[in-house]
Amino acid sequence: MVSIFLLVLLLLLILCGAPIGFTLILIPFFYILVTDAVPLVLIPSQMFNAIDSVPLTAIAFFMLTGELMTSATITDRLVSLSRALIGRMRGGLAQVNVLVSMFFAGMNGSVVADTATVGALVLPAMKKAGYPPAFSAAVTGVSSTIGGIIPPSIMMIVLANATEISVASLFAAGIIPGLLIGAVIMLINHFFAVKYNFERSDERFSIRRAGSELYRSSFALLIPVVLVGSVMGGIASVVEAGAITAMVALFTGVFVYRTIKWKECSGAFRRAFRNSAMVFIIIAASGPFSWLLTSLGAISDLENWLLSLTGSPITFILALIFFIFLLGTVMDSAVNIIIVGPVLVDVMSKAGFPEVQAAVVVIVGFLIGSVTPPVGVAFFTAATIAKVRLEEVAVALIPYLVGLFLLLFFIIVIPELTMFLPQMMSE
Amino acid sequence: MSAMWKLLNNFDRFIHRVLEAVCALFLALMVGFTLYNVIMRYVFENPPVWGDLLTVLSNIWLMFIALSLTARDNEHIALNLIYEKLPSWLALYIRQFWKLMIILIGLVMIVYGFELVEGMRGKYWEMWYFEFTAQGIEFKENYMPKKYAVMILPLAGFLTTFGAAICFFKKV
Repeated sequence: MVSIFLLVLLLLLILCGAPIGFTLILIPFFYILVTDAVPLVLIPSQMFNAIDSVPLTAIAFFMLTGELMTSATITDRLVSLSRALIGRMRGGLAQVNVLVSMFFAGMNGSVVADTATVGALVLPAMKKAGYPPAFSAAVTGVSSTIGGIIPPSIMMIVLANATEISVASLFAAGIIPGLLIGAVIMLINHFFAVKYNFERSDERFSIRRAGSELYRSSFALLIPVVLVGSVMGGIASVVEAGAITAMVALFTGVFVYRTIKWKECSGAFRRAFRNSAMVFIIIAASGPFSWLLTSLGAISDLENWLLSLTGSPITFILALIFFIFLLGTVMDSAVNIIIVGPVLVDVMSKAGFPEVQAAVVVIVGFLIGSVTPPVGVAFFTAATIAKVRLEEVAVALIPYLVGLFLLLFFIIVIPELTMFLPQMMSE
Repeated sequence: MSAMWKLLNNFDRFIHRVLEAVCALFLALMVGFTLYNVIMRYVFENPPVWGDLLTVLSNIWLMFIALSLTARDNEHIALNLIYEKLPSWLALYIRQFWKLMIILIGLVMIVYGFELVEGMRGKYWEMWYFEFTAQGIEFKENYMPKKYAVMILPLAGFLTTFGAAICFFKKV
Protein backbone atom coordinates (compact mmCIF):
# COMPACT_ATOMS: atom_id res chain seq x y z
CA MET A 1 0.00 0.00 0.00
CA VAL A 2 2.81 2.39 0.96
CA SER A 3 4.68 1.58 -2.22
CA ILE A 4 1.59 2.30 -4.37
CA PHE A 5 1.14 5.61 -2.56
CA LEU A 6 4.79 6.52 -3.17
CA LEU A 7 4.60 5.57 -6.86
CA VAL A 8 1.44 7.66 -7.31
CA LEU A 9 3.18 10.51 -5.49
CA LEU A 10 6.16 10.19 -7.83
CA LEU A 11 3.87 10.26 -10.84
CA LEU A 12 2.02 13.33 -9.56
CA LEU A 13 5.25 15.16 -8.81
CA ILE A 14 6.58 14.36 -12.28
CA LEU A 15 3.35 15.65 -13.82
CA CYS A 16 3.76 18.79 -11.71
CA GLY A 17 7.04 19.51 -13.47
CA ALA A 18 9.39 18.21 -10.78
CA PRO A 19 12.96 17.50 -11.92
CA ILE A 20 12.73 13.69 -12.25
CA GLY A 21 16.21 12.85 -10.97
CA PHE A 22 15.98 14.96 -7.83
CA THR A 23 12.44 13.73 -7.11
CA LEU A 24 13.71 10.14 -7.09
CA ILE A 25 16.07 11.21 -4.28
CA LEU A 26 13.55 13.33 -2.38
CA ILE A 27 11.01 10.51 -1.93
CA PRO A 28 13.38 8.03 -0.20
CA PHE A 29 14.89 10.94 1.75
CA PHE A 30 11.54 11.96 3.25
CA TYR A 31 10.58 8.30 3.76
CA ILE A 32 13.74 7.67 5.79
CA LEU A 33 13.31 10.97 7.64
CA VAL A 34 9.76 10.06 8.68
CA THR A 35 10.23 6.34 9.42
CA ASP A 36 13.85 6.43 10.61
CA ALA A 37 14.16 3.04 8.87
CA VAL A 38 17.90 3.33 8.11
CA PRO A 39 20.61 5.96 8.57
CA LEU A 40 20.31 8.82 6.07
CA VAL A 41 23.87 8.21 4.95
CA LEU A 42 22.28 5.53 2.74
CA ILE A 43 21.15 8.25 0.30
CA PRO A 44 24.61 9.47 -0.85
CA SER A 45 26.01 5.97 -0.50
CA GLN A 46 23.40 4.47 -2.85
CA MET A 47 23.82 7.38 -5.28
CA PHE A 48 27.55 6.75 -5.48
CA ASN A 49 27.18 2.98 -5.85
CA ALA A 50 24.59 3.37 -8.62
CA ILE A 51 27.07 5.10 -10.92
CA ASP A 52 30.21 3.32 -9.77
CA SER A 53 30.37 1.05 -12.81
CA VAL A 54 32.73 0.64 -15.76
CA PRO A 55 30.16 0.15 -18.59
CA LEU A 56 28.29 3.33 -17.62
CA THR A 57 31.39 5.32 -18.55
CA ALA A 58 30.56 4.64 -22.19
CA ILE A 59 27.48 6.89 -21.95
CA ALA A 60 29.57 10.08 -21.85
CA PHE A 61 31.63 8.82 -24.79
CA PHE A 62 28.58 8.12 -26.95
CA MET A 63 27.07 11.48 -26.04
CA LEU A 64 30.37 13.07 -27.07
CA THR A 65 30.44 11.14 -30.35
CA GLY A 66 26.88 12.29 -31.15
CA GLU A 67 27.69 15.90 -30.33
CA LEU A 68 30.89 15.87 -32.36
CA MET A 69 29.06 14.35 -35.32
CA THR A 70 26.38 17.03 -35.08
CA SER A 71 29.04 19.76 -34.86
CA ALA A 72 30.71 18.26 -37.91
CA THR A 73 27.43 18.77 -39.84
CA ILE A 74 27.31 15.04 -40.45
CA THR A 75 23.54 15.07 -40.17
CA ASP A 76 23.25 17.32 -43.24
CA ARG A 77 25.25 14.80 -45.22
CA LEU A 78 23.07 11.97 -43.96
CA VAL A 79 19.95 13.87 -45.04
CA SER A 80 21.44 14.39 -48.53
CA LEU A 81 22.37 10.71 -48.71
CA SER A 82 18.91 9.61 -47.63
CA ARG A 83 17.28 11.97 -50.14
CA ALA A 84 19.45 10.55 -52.91
CA LEU A 85 18.51 7.00 -51.92
CA ILE A 86 14.78 7.24 -51.26
CA GLY A 87 13.71 10.83 -51.91
CA ARG A 88 12.02 9.78 -55.16
CA MET A 89 9.49 7.62 -53.27
CA ARG A 90 6.04 9.09 -52.61
CA GLY A 91 6.28 10.77 -49.22
CA GLY A 92 10.04 10.81 -49.74
CA LEU A 93 10.80 13.34 -46.99
CA ALA A 94 8.89 11.33 -44.39
CA GLN A 95 10.94 8.28 -45.38
CA VAL A 96 14.13 10.34 -45.31
CA ASN A 97 13.23 11.30 -41.73
CA VAL A 98 13.18 7.62 -40.76
CA LEU A 99 16.29 6.65 -42.71
CA VAL A 100 18.33 9.52 -41.21
CA SER A 101 17.24 8.37 -37.75
CA MET A 102 18.46 4.88 -38.59
CA PHE A 103 21.84 6.18 -39.77
CA PHE A 104 22.05 8.60 -36.85
CA ALA A 105 21.21 5.80 -34.40
CA GLY A 106 24.49 4.17 -35.28
CA MET A 107 26.38 7.23 -34.08
CA ASN A 108 24.44 8.47 -31.13
CA GLY A 109 22.27 6.33 -28.89
CA SER A 110 19.93 8.85 -27.38
CA VAL A 111 16.28 9.23 -28.32
CA VAL A 112 16.11 12.92 -27.40
CA ALA A 113 19.28 13.79 -29.32
CA ASP A 114 17.86 11.98 -32.34
CA THR A 115 14.50 13.78 -32.15
CA ALA A 116 16.10 17.18 -31.69
CA THR A 117 18.84 16.82 -34.30
CA VAL A 118 16.92 15.05 -37.06
CA GLY A 119 13.76 17.05 -36.31
CA ALA A 120 15.56 20.39 -36.58
CA LEU A 121 16.90 19.40 -39.99
CA VAL A 122 14.02 17.55 -41.62
CA LEU A 123 10.91 19.17 -40.11
CA PRO A 124 11.35 22.57 -41.83
CA ALA A 125 11.75 20.78 -45.18
CA MET A 126 8.63 18.66 -44.51
CA LYS A 127 6.67 21.77 -43.61
CA LYS A 128 7.78 23.48 -46.80
CA ALA A 129 6.74 20.42 -48.81
CA GLY A 130 3.22 20.60 -47.41
CA TYR A 131 3.17 17.72 -44.93
CA PRO A 132 0.68 18.16 -42.07
CA PRO A 133 2.80 19.41 -39.11
CA ALA A 134 1.27 16.88 -36.68
CA PHE A 135 2.13 14.02 -39.07
CA SER A 136 5.71 15.32 -39.43
CA ALA A 137 6.12 15.59 -35.65
CA ALA A 138 4.71 12.09 -35.16
CA VAL A 139 7.12 10.59 -37.72
CA THR A 140 10.08 12.43 -36.17
CA GLY A 141 9.21 11.35 -32.64
CA VAL A 142 8.43 7.76 -33.45
CA SER A 143 11.47 7.24 -35.68
CA SER A 144 13.78 8.59 -32.98
CA THR A 145 13.05 5.50 -30.86
CA ILE A 146 15.34 3.66 -33.26
CA GLY A 147 18.18 5.77 -31.80
CA GLY A 148 17.95 3.85 -28.56
CA ILE A 149 17.74 0.43 -30.18
CA ILE A 150 20.28 0.28 -33.00
CA PRO A 151 23.71 0.23 -31.29
CA PRO A 152 25.20 2.15 -29.62
CA SER A 153 22.33 2.56 -27.20
CA ILE A 154 22.72 4.39 -23.92
CA MET A 155 19.76 2.62 -22.38
CA MET A 156 21.17 -0.77 -23.39
CA ILE A 157 24.35 0.08 -21.51
CA VAL A 158 22.32 1.11 -18.45
CA LEU A 159 20.16 -2.03 -18.49
CA ALA A 160 23.09 -4.33 -19.22
CA ASN A 161 24.86 -2.82 -16.24
CA ALA A 162 21.88 -3.40 -13.95
CA THR A 163 21.21 -6.96 -15.12
CA GLU A 164 24.81 -8.04 -15.74
CA ILE A 165 24.07 -8.99 -19.34
CA SER A 166 26.86 -8.56 -21.90
CA VAL A 167 26.58 -5.18 -23.63
CA ALA A 168 28.00 -6.69 -26.83
CA SER A 169 25.19 -9.30 -26.93
CA LEU A 170 22.58 -6.62 -26.31
CA PHE A 171 24.02 -4.41 -29.04
CA ALA A 172 23.91 -7.36 -31.46
CA ALA A 173 20.37 -8.25 -30.39
CA GLY A 174 19.15 -4.68 -31.00
CA ILE A 175 20.14 -4.51 -34.67
CA ILE A 176 17.29 -6.55 -36.23
CA PRO A 177 14.50 -5.04 -34.04
CA GLY A 178 15.90 -1.56 -34.80
CA LEU A 179 15.79 -2.19 -38.54
CA LEU A 180 12.30 -3.72 -38.26
CA ILE A 181 11.02 -0.66 -36.39
CA GLY A 182 12.36 1.49 -39.22
CA ALA A 183 10.64 -0.76 -41.76
CA VAL A 184 7.29 -0.64 -39.91
CA ILE A 185 7.38 3.16 -39.69
CA MET A 186 8.27 3.43 -43.37
CA LEU A 187 5.44 1.10 -44.28
CA ILE A 188 2.92 3.23 -42.39
CA ASN A 189 4.45 6.36 -43.93
CA HIS A 190 4.00 4.85 -47.37
CA PHE A 191 0.35 4.10 -46.66
CA PHE A 192 -0.33 7.73 -45.68
CA ALA A 193 1.83 9.08 -48.52
CA VAL A 194 -0.26 7.22 -51.10
CA LYS A 195 -3.55 8.01 -49.36
CA TYR A 196 -2.88 11.77 -49.08
CA ASN A 197 -0.72 12.05 -52.19
CA PHE A 198 2.33 13.48 -50.39
CA GLU A 199 5.23 14.99 -52.36
CA ARG A 200 8.13 13.17 -53.95
CA SER A 201 11.45 14.48 -55.18
CA ASP A 202 11.57 15.79 -58.75
CA GLU A 203 15.00 14.31 -59.20
CA ARG A 204 15.05 10.76 -60.51
CA PHE A 205 17.08 8.15 -58.64
CA SER A 206 20.58 8.06 -59.98
CA ILE A 207 23.26 5.60 -58.95
CA ARG A 208 25.89 8.25 -59.63
CA ARG A 209 24.29 10.76 -57.28
CA ALA A 210 23.66 8.11 -54.62
CA GLY A 211 27.29 6.97 -54.96
CA SER A 212 28.58 10.52 -54.65
CA GLU A 213 26.46 11.17 -51.54
CA LEU A 214 27.59 7.86 -50.10
CA TYR A 215 31.19 8.93 -50.65
CA ARG A 216 30.53 12.30 -48.94
CA SER A 217 29.10 10.48 -45.90
CA SER A 218 31.49 7.55 -45.92
CA PHE A 219 33.57 8.66 -42.93
CA ALA A 220 30.43 9.30 -40.90
CA LEU A 221 29.07 5.88 -41.79
CA LEU A 222 32.38 4.36 -40.80
CA ILE A 223 31.71 5.23 -37.16
CA PRO A 224 28.93 2.69 -36.49
CA VAL A 225 30.95 0.09 -38.38
CA VAL A 226 34.02 0.73 -36.18
CA LEU A 227 31.87 0.70 -33.08
CA VAL A 228 29.76 -2.38 -33.74
CA GLY A 229 32.67 -4.25 -35.30
CA SER A 230 35.03 -3.63 -32.39
CA VAL A 231 32.48 -4.48 -29.68
CA MET A 232 30.92 -7.48 -31.39
CA GLY A 233 34.28 -8.73 -32.62
CA GLY A 234 35.59 -8.71 -29.05
CA ILE A 235 38.40 -6.33 -30.01
CA ALA A 236 37.37 -3.64 -27.57
CA SER A 237 35.03 -3.28 -24.62
CA VAL A 238 32.03 -1.00 -25.00
CA VAL A 239 33.86 1.74 -23.07
CA GLU A 240 36.95 1.47 -25.24
CA ALA A 241 34.79 1.42 -28.38
CA GLY A 242 33.06 4.58 -27.12
CA ALA A 243 36.38 6.37 -26.67
CA ILE A 244 37.62 5.17 -30.08
CA THR A 245 34.46 6.36 -31.87
CA ALA A 246 34.65 9.72 -30.11
CA MET A 247 38.22 10.03 -31.35
CA VAL A 248 37.22 8.98 -34.89
CA ALA A 249 34.36 11.53 -34.82
CA LEU A 250 36.77 14.26 -33.72
CA PHE A 251 39.28 13.27 -36.39
CA THR A 252 36.55 13.20 -39.06
CA GLY A 253 35.24 16.63 -38.06
CA VAL A 254 38.65 18.30 -37.74
CA PHE A 255 40.68 16.75 -40.54
CA VAL A 256 38.29 15.19 -43.05
CA TYR A 257 35.24 17.47 -43.17
CA ARG A 258 37.10 20.41 -41.57
CA THR A 259 33.92 21.68 -39.97
CA ILE A 260 35.04 21.37 -36.34
CA LYS A 261 37.11 24.22 -35.00
CA TRP A 262 37.98 24.98 -31.36
CA LYS A 263 34.58 26.63 -30.73
CA GLU A 264 32.58 23.66 -32.08
CA CYS A 265 34.82 21.21 -30.25
CA SER A 266 34.45 22.91 -26.85
CA GLY A 267 30.70 23.27 -27.46
CA ALA A 268 30.42 19.55 -28.22
CA PHE A 269 32.30 18.65 -25.02
CA ARG A 270 30.11 21.02 -22.98
CA ARG A 271 26.84 19.62 -24.36
CA ALA A 272 28.10 16.05 -23.99
CA PHE A 273 28.84 16.29 -20.26
CA ARG A 274 25.71 18.31 -19.54
CA ASN A 275 23.45 15.83 -21.36
CA SER A 276 25.26 12.93 -19.71
CA ALA A 277 24.79 14.53 -16.28
CA MET A 278 21.03 14.76 -16.87
CA VAL A 279 20.95 10.99 -17.50
CA PHE A 280 23.37 10.22 -14.67
CA ILE A 281 21.32 12.04 -12.06
CA ILE A 282 18.48 9.61 -12.85
CA ILE A 283 20.87 6.64 -12.65
CA ALA A 284 22.33 7.91 -9.35
CA ALA A 285 18.86 8.62 -7.97
CA SER A 286 17.67 5.16 -8.97
CA GLY A 287 20.00 3.82 -6.23
CA PRO A 288 18.06 5.17 -3.21
CA PHE A 289 14.70 4.86 -5.01
CA SER A 290 15.26 1.21 -5.95
CA TRP A 291 16.37 0.54 -2.37
CA LEU A 292 13.07 2.02 -1.18
CA LEU A 293 10.97 -0.05 -3.59
CA THR A 294 12.87 -3.21 -2.66
CA SER A 295 12.60 -2.62 1.08
CA LEU A 296 8.85 -1.98 0.78
CA GLY A 297 8.42 -5.23 -1.12
CA ALA A 298 7.11 -3.47 -4.25
CA ILE A 299 9.65 -5.15 -6.51
CA SER A 300 8.85 -8.66 -5.24
CA ASP A 301 5.09 -7.94 -5.42
CA LEU A 302 5.43 -6.93 -9.06
CA GLU A 303 7.55 -10.00 -9.79
CA ASN A 304 5.05 -12.32 -8.11
CA TRP A 305 2.09 -10.74 -9.93
CA LEU A 306 3.72 -11.10 -13.33
CA LEU A 307 4.95 -14.61 -12.60
CA SER A 308 1.43 -15.63 -11.55
CA LEU A 309 0.38 -15.00 -15.16
CA THR A 310 2.96 -17.32 -16.73
CA GLY A 311 0.50 -20.26 -16.67
CA SER A 312 -0.85 -19.02 -19.99
CA PRO A 313 1.96 -17.71 -22.23
CA ILE A 314 -0.37 -15.50 -24.29
CA THR A 315 -1.88 -13.90 -21.17
CA PHE A 316 1.62 -13.32 -19.82
CA ILE A 317 2.81 -11.69 -23.06
CA LEU A 318 -0.28 -9.50 -23.39
CA ALA A 319 -0.09 -8.49 -19.71
CA LEU A 320 3.59 -7.68 -20.15
CA ILE A 321 2.93 -5.51 -23.22
CA PHE A 322 0.03 -3.78 -21.49
CA PHE A 323 2.16 -3.15 -18.39
CA ILE A 324 5.00 -1.71 -20.50
CA PHE A 325 2.51 0.41 -22.45
CA LEU A 326 0.85 1.68 -19.27
CA LEU A 327 4.13 2.64 -17.63
CA GLY A 328 5.31 4.19 -20.89
CA THR A 329 2.31 6.49 -21.01
CA VAL A 330 2.89 7.94 -17.56
CA MET A 331 6.61 7.68 -16.82
CA ASP A 332 9.79 8.71 -18.53
CA SER A 333 11.44 5.88 -20.47
CA ALA A 334 14.79 6.36 -18.70
CA VAL A 335 13.16 5.96 -15.28
CA ASN A 336 11.23 2.91 -16.48
CA ILE A 337 14.29 1.20 -17.93
CA ILE A 338 16.51 1.97 -14.95
CA ILE A 339 14.05 1.09 -12.17
CA VAL A 340 11.49 -1.35 -13.60
CA GLY A 341 13.62 -2.76 -16.45
CA PRO A 342 15.78 -5.14 -14.35
CA VAL A 343 12.65 -6.56 -12.66
CA LEU A 344 10.95 -7.27 -16.00
CA VAL A 345 14.11 -8.89 -17.40
CA ASP A 346 14.25 -11.12 -14.32
CA VAL A 347 10.56 -12.04 -14.59
CA MET A 348 10.82 -12.82 -18.31
CA SER A 349 13.92 -14.88 -17.76
CA LYS A 350 12.13 -16.87 -15.01
CA ALA A 351 9.25 -17.32 -17.46
CA GLY A 352 11.65 -19.02 -19.86
CA PHE A 353 12.75 -16.23 -22.20
CA PRO A 354 16.47 -15.74 -22.90
CA GLU A 355 17.81 -12.82 -20.83
CA VAL A 356 19.10 -10.94 -23.88
CA GLN A 357 15.71 -11.19 -25.61
CA ALA A 358 14.00 -10.04 -22.42
CA ALA A 359 16.30 -7.02 -22.19
CA VAL A 360 15.62 -6.04 -25.81
CA VAL A 361 11.86 -6.38 -25.25
CA VAL A 362 12.10 -4.09 -22.22
CA ILE A 363 14.19 -1.52 -24.09
CA VAL A 364 12.03 -1.51 -27.22
CA GLY A 365 8.82 -1.36 -25.15
CA PHE A 366 9.93 1.46 -22.90
CA LEU A 367 11.50 3.42 -25.75
CA ILE A 368 8.19 3.27 -27.58
CA GLY A 369 6.98 4.75 -24.28
CA SER A 370 9.10 7.83 -24.96
CA VAL A 371 6.59 8.79 -27.65
CA THR A 372 3.40 7.60 -25.99
CA PRO A 373 1.26 10.50 -24.72
CA PRO A 374 0.72 12.05 -22.24
CA VAL A 375 4.29 11.66 -20.92
CA GLY A 376 7.13 11.11 -23.38
CA VAL A 377 10.28 13.12 -23.98
CA ALA A 378 10.44 12.38 -27.71
CA PHE A 379 6.74 13.21 -28.01
CA PHE A 380 7.29 16.62 -26.34
CA THR A 381 10.49 17.38 -28.22
CA ALA A 382 9.00 16.59 -31.64
CA ALA A 383 5.84 18.61 -30.95
CA THR A 384 7.92 21.56 -29.72
CA ILE A 385 10.21 21.60 -32.76
CA ALA A 386 7.27 21.22 -35.16
CA LYS A 387 5.31 23.87 -33.20
CA VAL A 388 2.16 21.73 -33.10
CA ARG A 389 -0.35 21.15 -30.32
CA LEU A 390 0.36 17.99 -28.33
CA GLU A 391 -3.19 16.69 -28.84
CA GLU A 392 -2.79 16.78 -32.63
CA VAL A 393 0.53 14.91 -32.46
CA ALA A 394 -1.04 12.37 -30.10
CA VAL A 395 -3.74 11.56 -32.68
CA ALA A 396 -1.20 11.35 -35.52
CA LEU A 397 0.87 8.93 -33.42
CA ILE A 398 -1.90 6.33 -33.01
CA PRO A 399 -1.27 4.23 -36.17
CA TYR A 400 2.47 4.19 -35.50
CA LEU A 401 2.02 3.11 -31.89
CA VAL A 402 -0.34 0.31 -32.95
CA GLY A 403 2.25 -0.84 -35.50
CA LEU A 404 5.12 -0.70 -33.01
CA PHE A 405 3.29 -2.55 -30.24
CA LEU A 406 2.34 -5.23 -32.77
CA LEU A 407 6.00 -5.49 -33.67
CA LEU A 408 6.87 -5.74 -29.97
CA PHE A 409 4.48 -8.69 -29.74
CA PHE A 410 6.34 -10.41 -32.58
CA ILE A 411 9.71 -9.63 -30.98
CA ILE A 412 8.48 -11.48 -27.89
CA VAL A 413 7.01 -14.50 -29.68
CA ILE A 414 9.80 -14.91 -32.26
CA PRO A 415 13.07 -15.17 -30.27
CA GLU A 416 15.15 -15.41 -33.48
CA LEU A 417 14.47 -11.73 -34.19
CA THR A 418 16.63 -10.84 -31.21
CA MET A 419 18.73 -13.94 -30.62
CA PHE A 420 19.95 -14.66 -34.15
CA LEU A 421 22.86 -12.18 -34.17
CA PRO A 422 24.06 -12.74 -30.56
CA GLN A 423 24.04 -16.51 -31.18
CA MET A 424 25.92 -16.08 -34.44
CA MET A 425 28.41 -13.84 -32.64
CA SER A 426 29.01 -16.38 -29.86
CA GLU A 427 29.58 -19.14 -32.42
CA MET B 1 23.77 45.78 -1.58
CA SER B 2 24.28 46.16 -5.31
CA ALA B 3 28.06 45.87 -4.82
CA MET B 4 27.48 42.66 -2.89
CA TRP B 5 25.21 41.35 -5.64
CA LYS B 6 27.80 42.26 -8.27
CA LEU B 7 30.51 40.46 -6.33
CA LEU B 8 28.33 37.36 -6.01
CA ASN B 9 27.53 37.54 -9.71
CA ASN B 10 31.20 37.69 -10.63
CA PHE B 11 31.98 34.82 -8.29
CA ASP B 12 29.15 32.78 -9.84
CA ARG B 13 30.45 33.48 -13.35
CA PHE B 14 33.98 32.52 -12.30
CA ILE B 15 32.85 29.28 -10.64
CA HIS B 16 30.68 28.45 -13.66
CA ARG B 17 33.59 28.84 -16.07
CA VAL B 18 36.00 26.92 -13.87
CA LEU B 19 33.55 24.03 -13.42
CA GLU B 20 32.84 23.87 -17.15
CA ALA B 21 36.56 23.77 -17.86
CA VAL B 22 37.09 21.08 -15.20
CA CYS B 23 34.28 18.95 -16.65
CA ALA B 24 35.57 19.28 -20.22
CA LEU B 25 39.04 18.36 -18.98
CA PHE B 26 37.71 15.30 -17.13
CA LEU B 27 35.88 14.14 -20.26
CA ALA B 28 38.96 14.65 -22.43
CA LEU B 29 41.10 12.82 -19.86
CA MET B 30 38.62 9.94 -19.76
CA VAL B 31 38.93 9.54 -23.53
CA GLY B 32 42.70 9.80 -23.15
CA PHE B 33 42.96 7.21 -20.34
CA THR B 34 40.80 4.76 -22.26
CA LEU B 35 42.75 5.15 -25.49
CA TYR B 36 46.01 4.82 -23.53
CA ASN B 37 44.63 1.57 -22.10
CA VAL B 38 43.81 0.23 -25.59
CA ILE B 39 47.23 1.21 -26.97
CA MET B 40 49.07 -0.28 -24.00
CA ARG B 41 47.12 -3.51 -24.37
CA TYR B 42 47.43 -4.01 -28.12
CA VAL B 43 50.72 -2.31 -28.95
CA PHE B 44 52.81 -2.85 -25.82
CA GLU B 45 50.87 -5.82 -24.37
CA ASN B 46 51.15 -4.16 -20.96
CA PRO B 47 47.84 -2.53 -19.97
CA PRO B 48 47.92 -0.53 -16.73
CA VAL B 49 45.99 -2.16 -13.87
CA TRP B 50 44.46 1.18 -12.93
CA GLY B 51 43.12 1.91 -16.44
CA ASP B 52 39.42 1.10 -15.93
CA LEU B 53 39.29 2.34 -12.36
CA LEU B 54 40.74 5.75 -13.21
CA THR B 55 38.18 6.15 -16.01
CA VAL B 56 35.30 5.17 -13.72
CA LEU B 57 36.40 7.50 -10.93
CA SER B 58 36.87 10.34 -13.42
CA ASN B 59 33.38 9.66 -14.75
CA ILE B 60 31.87 9.75 -11.23
CA TRP B 61 33.61 13.02 -10.39
CA LEU B 62 32.69 14.49 -13.78
CA MET B 63 29.02 13.57 -13.42
CA PHE B 64 28.67 14.91 -9.89
CA ILE B 65 30.34 18.20 -10.83
CA ALA B 66 28.26 18.47 -14.02
CA LEU B 67 25.20 17.83 -11.86
CA SER B 68 25.88 21.06 -10.00
CA LEU B 69 26.11 22.89 -13.33
CA THR B 70 22.72 21.56 -14.40
CA ALA B 71 21.33 22.69 -11.02
CA ARG B 72 22.85 26.15 -11.58
CA ASP B 73 21.39 26.48 -15.08
CA ASN B 74 18.08 24.80 -14.23
CA GLU B 75 18.57 22.08 -16.87
CA HIS B 76 16.73 18.95 -15.82
CA ILE B 77 14.74 16.13 -17.37
CA ALA B 78 11.26 17.29 -16.38
CA LEU B 79 7.83 17.84 -17.86
CA ASN B 80 7.68 21.54 -18.54
CA LEU B 81 4.22 21.37 -20.04
CA ILE B 82 2.50 22.37 -16.79
CA TYR B 83 4.46 25.63 -16.61
CA GLU B 84 3.08 26.69 -19.98
CA LYS B 85 -0.51 26.07 -18.86
CA LEU B 86 -0.29 27.85 -15.50
CA PRO B 87 -0.35 31.61 -14.85
CA SER B 88 3.22 32.89 -14.96
CA TRP B 89 3.34 33.87 -11.26
CA LEU B 90 2.22 30.38 -10.19
CA ALA B 91 4.64 28.71 -12.59
CA LEU B 92 7.43 30.82 -11.07
CA TYR B 93 6.44 29.79 -7.52
CA ILE B 94 6.48 26.12 -8.47
CA ARG B 95 9.85 26.42 -10.21
CA GLN B 96 11.26 28.23 -7.17
CA PHE B 97 9.89 25.50 -4.91
CA TRP B 98 11.79 22.83 -6.87
CA LYS B 99 14.98 24.86 -6.59
CA LEU B 100 14.56 24.88 -2.80
CA MET B 101 14.15 21.11 -2.94
CA ILE B 102 17.39 20.84 -4.93
CA ILE B 103 19.11 22.98 -2.27
CA LEU B 104 17.79 20.52 0.32
CA ILE B 105 19.27 17.58 -1.61
CA GLY B 106 22.55 19.47 -1.86
CA LEU B 107 22.56 19.91 1.92
CA VAL B 108 21.81 16.20 2.39
CA MET B 109 24.78 15.41 0.16
CA ILE B 110 27.03 17.70 2.19
CA VAL B 111 26.01 16.45 5.65
CA TYR B 112 25.64 12.74 4.94
CA GLY B 113 28.35 12.79 2.28
CA PHE B 114 30.83 13.88 4.97
CA GLU B 115 29.53 11.11 7.22
CA LEU B 116 30.09 8.64 4.38
CA VAL B 117 33.64 9.90 3.79
CA GLU B 118 34.47 9.62 7.48
CA GLY B 119 33.08 6.10 7.74
CA MET B 120 34.46 4.84 4.43
CA ARG B 121 36.89 1.98 4.83
CA GLY B 122 38.80 0.02 2.21
CA LYS B 123 41.29 0.83 -0.50
CA TYR B 124 41.65 0.46 -4.24
CA TRP B 125 44.72 -1.79 -4.43
CA GLU B 126 45.31 -0.96 -8.10
CA MET B 127 45.13 2.82 -7.84
CA TRP B 128 48.02 5.24 -7.33
CA TYR B 129 47.54 8.53 -5.50
CA PHE B 130 49.27 11.50 -3.97
CA GLU B 131 49.51 11.97 -0.22
CA PHE B 132 50.03 15.30 1.45
CA THR B 133 52.44 14.84 4.33
CA ALA B 134 54.58 17.11 6.46
CA GLN B 135 57.44 16.37 4.07
CA GLY B 136 55.43 17.53 1.07
CA ILE B 137 53.46 15.71 -1.66
CA GLU B 138 54.30 12.05 -1.81
CA PHE B 139 53.44 9.68 -4.68
CA LYS B 140 52.01 6.32 -3.61
CA GLU B 141 52.00 3.51 -6.14
CA ASN B 142 48.79 1.79 -5.00
CA TYR B 143 46.17 1.30 -2.27
CA MET B 144 44.32 4.58 -2.70
CA PRO B 145 41.82 4.97 0.18
CA LYS B 146 38.22 4.73 -1.07
CA LYS B 147 37.32 7.80 0.96
CA TYR B 148 39.17 9.91 -1.63
CA ALA B 149 36.72 8.76 -4.29
CA VAL B 150 33.58 9.50 -2.25
CA MET B 151 34.85 12.95 -1.29
CA ILE B 152 33.07 14.14 -4.41
CA LEU B 153 29.71 13.71 -2.64
CA PRO B 154 30.03 16.56 -0.09
CA LEU B 155 31.89 18.64 -2.67
CA ALA B 156 29.13 18.13 -5.26
CA GLY B 157 26.57 18.80 -2.52
CA PHE B 158 28.18 22.17 -1.83
CA LEU B 159 28.38 23.06 -5.53
CA THR B 160 24.78 21.92 -6.14
CA THR B 161 23.51 23.93 -3.18
CA PHE B 162 25.42 26.98 -4.35
CA GLY B 163 24.26 26.53 -7.96
CA ALA B 164 20.62 26.01 -7.03
CA ALA B 165 20.74 29.02 -4.66
CA ILE B 166 22.10 31.23 -7.44
CA CYS B 167 19.44 29.83 -9.76
CA PHE B 168 16.80 30.61 -7.08
CA PHE B 169 17.90 34.21 -6.54
CA LYS B 170 18.39 34.92 -10.24
CA LYS B 171 15.07 33.19 -11.04
CA VAL B 172 16.75 31.38 -13.95
